[in-house]
Amino acid sequence: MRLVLRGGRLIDPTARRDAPGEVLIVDGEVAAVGAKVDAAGAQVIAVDGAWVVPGFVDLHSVVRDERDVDAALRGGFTTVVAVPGTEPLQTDRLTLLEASPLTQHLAGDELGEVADDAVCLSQGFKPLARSGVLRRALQYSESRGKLIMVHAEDPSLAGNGVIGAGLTATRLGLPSVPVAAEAAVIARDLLILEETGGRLHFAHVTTERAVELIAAAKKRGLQVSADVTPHHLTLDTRAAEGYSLTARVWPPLRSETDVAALRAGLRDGTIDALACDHVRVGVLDREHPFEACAPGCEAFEQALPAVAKCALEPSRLVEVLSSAPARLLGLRTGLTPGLAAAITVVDPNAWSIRGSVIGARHTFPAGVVT
Amino acid sequence: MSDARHLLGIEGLPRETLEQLLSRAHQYREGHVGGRHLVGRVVANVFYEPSTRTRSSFEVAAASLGAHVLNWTVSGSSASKGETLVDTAKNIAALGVSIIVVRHQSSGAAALVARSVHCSVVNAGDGQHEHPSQALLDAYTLWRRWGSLEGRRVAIVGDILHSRVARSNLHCLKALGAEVVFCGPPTMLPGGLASLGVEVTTELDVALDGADAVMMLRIQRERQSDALFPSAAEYHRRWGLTNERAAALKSDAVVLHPGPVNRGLELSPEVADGQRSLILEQVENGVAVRKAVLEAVS
Repeated sequence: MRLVLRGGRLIDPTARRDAPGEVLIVDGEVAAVGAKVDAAGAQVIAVDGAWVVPGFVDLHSVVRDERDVDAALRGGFTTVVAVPGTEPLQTDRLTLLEASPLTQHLAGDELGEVADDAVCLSQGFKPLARSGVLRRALQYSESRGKLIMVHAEDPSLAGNGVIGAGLTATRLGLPSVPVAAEAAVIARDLLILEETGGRLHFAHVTTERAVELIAAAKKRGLQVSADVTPHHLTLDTRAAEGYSLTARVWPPLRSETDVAALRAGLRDGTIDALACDHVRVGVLDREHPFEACAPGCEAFEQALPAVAKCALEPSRLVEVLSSAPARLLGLRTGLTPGLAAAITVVDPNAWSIRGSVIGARHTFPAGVVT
Repeated sequence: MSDARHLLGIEGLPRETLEQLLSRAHQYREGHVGGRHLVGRVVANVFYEPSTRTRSSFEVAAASLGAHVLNWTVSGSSASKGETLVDTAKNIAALGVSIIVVRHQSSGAAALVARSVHCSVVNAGDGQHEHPSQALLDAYTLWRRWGSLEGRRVAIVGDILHSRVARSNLHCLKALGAEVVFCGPPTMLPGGLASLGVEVTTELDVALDGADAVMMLRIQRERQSDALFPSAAEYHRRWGLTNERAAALKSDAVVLHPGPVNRGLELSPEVADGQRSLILEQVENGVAVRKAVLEAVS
């Protein structure tokens, strides 16, 4: 099967490519990339000016069933790392990768056994209360070079909080989470990283203080990285007005200032990547008062619009959604001949997804393909 | 009321609405109206938290307006079987209830019930958010005493962080022209208070200086997962209304407490029973205020 994407702007930060051109995919593999490719006998998809980019890669989300797969595809994702502890779904419509639990049952006590095919080690949404466990994990992982993904939360500071501390929390009478619940753990973990080596990644950072701490650590040459979610880039605590469940996410939403700092951090590279934390919450888990509802939001389709609000250069925009998370996981992706096809086509006017190609499949509507 | 069908909170209510409720309460209190406005209606008390006085007060108010009162107790009902709040609310409304009076341990619960049903909803306390009928009865008690709250200084002392009474009173007192000062241990003062237009201090003597009324909040031992102060004795020493502090108040200053009082903790027994105390009058006024509230939403 031969497929050609024609008339697009090819943006691939890894290959330092940003030019008009075509991509030829043969039997699910990128076969040729250039101004003009051999389209003989191929189905042609005319993308008329849209961006043709390496498929988006998500570092942590919960994919429970086909509805989540659909949402990921609609959001432009071709690869998703499942949060450990969730039942892995079998699908060939999306590349679903596994993260190995950093600690056994994510309890934070003993190191988890590392699956050979795991792309990283992750603590999911669970805190690592015992510093010694992180130290051991970093020491142990150093030999294998796998990314260690942590969720920065001090449970004794977070308490039963459901939203970032501040005026909105006070007015609404919602239990709140101080900034230090995140920042203190990041500071601690960076001090440990400095002694041990290893590659440490902070999932879903939310505060200005976190951005500052990570920027300083990078400046000192530590192997640290971080990501931010679409909701933390676009919503602040005021979204909880009227107890709107839009704001019921974990980690909690923060202030306007924090949102601005996260956007700036994504621009200047302090924050490496976007990651979704897509969690589809069941209807029954939403029929309770705010604090009693299960947290989570359907984030796959919010990713591109959220990043579009951050005033990034086109190649940086593609990088944070695609090449940067791929690099953190050690995946080879891109518009490069010989690689399995994982390509997303972005409409930069509407900030929507036209479709994607994953291996021998694609999601373009019938009329577009000739 | 922004949505006259419900009373979910005081925040955002215009002064006229509050004054209408107070003057209607006054008519009930003074026996100027007998009104049996709720004859043939059903008022459901749905209490997810233990409460004797608020529930009884609503029950007496509803009954004296002629309503049938349904007390939906949570233990032994489907709430303990994992039914969602929305489901429970819809089931109660389906019985033909006109007004649901709801008390719940989570902030926003009353608003959620109001969104889920077609009948009226009165918030009888939701988590740490609001307790509007309590604020109205406090305001009425002061208004009855003074004629106006304009320019009066009211000190609210205690666990501001966890107190829905403090939040509702702040909005109510400010809307009626009073000046509010919050006082309590630093661990019980949440962030962002200053931007709500309230004076905040950890020094009780500063709060009491010039106060026309002192509202002592109940220390909710059952709501504290962690101890927010070292000991009851220390709390009483620093934030309790002792006999000495009460004696130093302005001569006509009054003392309120939403009850039940932890005697010897928030205030000394002598102050609770003393000349300045309006605590029993608050309870008495509560019925009249709740009659006005039930009538207004019906």
